[in-house]
Amino acid sequence: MTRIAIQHGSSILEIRKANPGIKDLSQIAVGQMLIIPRPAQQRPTFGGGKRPTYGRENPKVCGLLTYTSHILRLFNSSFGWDLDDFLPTAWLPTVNDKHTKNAPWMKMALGEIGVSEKKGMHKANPRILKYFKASKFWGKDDSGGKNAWCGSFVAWVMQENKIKPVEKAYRAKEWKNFGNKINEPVYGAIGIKSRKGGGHVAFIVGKSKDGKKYFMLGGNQQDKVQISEYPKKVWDTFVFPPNHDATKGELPVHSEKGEKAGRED
Amino acid sequence: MRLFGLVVFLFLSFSCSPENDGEEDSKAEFALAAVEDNILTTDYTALVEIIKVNVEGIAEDSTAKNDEALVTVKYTARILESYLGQEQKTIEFREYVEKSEGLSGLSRGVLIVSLCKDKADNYYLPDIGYELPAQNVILERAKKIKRQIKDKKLTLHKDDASYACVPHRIGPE
Repeated sequence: MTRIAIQHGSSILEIRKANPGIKDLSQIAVGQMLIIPRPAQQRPTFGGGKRPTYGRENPKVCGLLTYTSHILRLFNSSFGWDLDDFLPTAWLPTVNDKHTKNAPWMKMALGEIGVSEKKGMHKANPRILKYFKASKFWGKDDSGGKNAWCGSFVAWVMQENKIKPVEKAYRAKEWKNFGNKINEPVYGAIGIKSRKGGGHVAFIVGKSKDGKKYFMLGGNQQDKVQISEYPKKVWDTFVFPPNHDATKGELPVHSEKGEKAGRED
Repeated sequence: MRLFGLVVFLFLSFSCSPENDGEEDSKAEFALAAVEDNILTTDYTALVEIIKVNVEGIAEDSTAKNDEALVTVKYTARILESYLGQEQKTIEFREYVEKSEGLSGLSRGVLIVSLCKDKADNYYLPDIGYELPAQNVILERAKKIKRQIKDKKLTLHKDDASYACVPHRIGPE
């Protein structure tokens, strides 16, 4: 919770005030909605001015309809606050106990949503440097293709869950050699896509109603950890961690309503 | 008072440095561990000095089209020492970067690169981690590997799954 508060420039006290219905903030479940008040200096003044925007500056780069960590805008009139007094909450896929039980590492992966690169050369977010360490990568800068950190993010999530990452985990394509290959992806499986000179790796969290799109939670997606929508066809391999049974899993379908709520166009 | 200040300064200096050194040490170890694999799984490795960087725009890629568009970055480099592959004075190679990854972290200066050759005989960086810092310990290891290849004590991995330049690892060309 402290991390969420810091990421959003808020405090636990403010979050507690904004969520009177939640008795114990340390016990929030995946998929549960949380109201996060925006820091005072970001609150808009009334009576004009441009409404602040959240999330990506360029929502269509790479043709991905990207879900940033700030999506749902909530309004709690009982407190007399304006809609803009709240940061949109993190968009989390609706999952049930079965999903999280079958892929327990996802709790940690979801908790990293919002971790982003530090702008500028030779700079790095210390959190991303921790991801690098988990994958045994020597990079000191978190920006650019040569420091792409999607594989490192997956390595960190695995390592934190006591699952040994693949060798050379900083390379996305190396994840094809991890665990067990599965034909049909299930919640929490690791998807790999290949291209000349690299690739991408991320956790799958759902699919669209028509099954043509996958929702992937990954690092280095628009320079941050977030859930992005990709065409199904670009993912060539899915793997599931060793000693975990993918056959018990399933892939949640995200409703049309959820997709629209997720966009920040 | 001055003595107290000096003691505090020394304490802070010594108490902070080992942790930072530890971080640096582990990064150096990670890079050193990758030298042999990088050389043995690619077509060309050399110590180079980048002299020109040219962003060529979006590469034609039948699978990517406008989605995940690739930007091609062409490097021209002076070769300072080669460890594997044809001896030459300069080299041109390409890096494929997804637009979303940005171009802020492009390679500069002196470094060790391991490269693949594509069907048209153009060199390219096969993946992340095929660039290594030009540190003495890494250069020494690279020289040693070069000797071991020459003496047939080490063999290239061209026929096994770890070879970085085979089509199934490259992805769509």
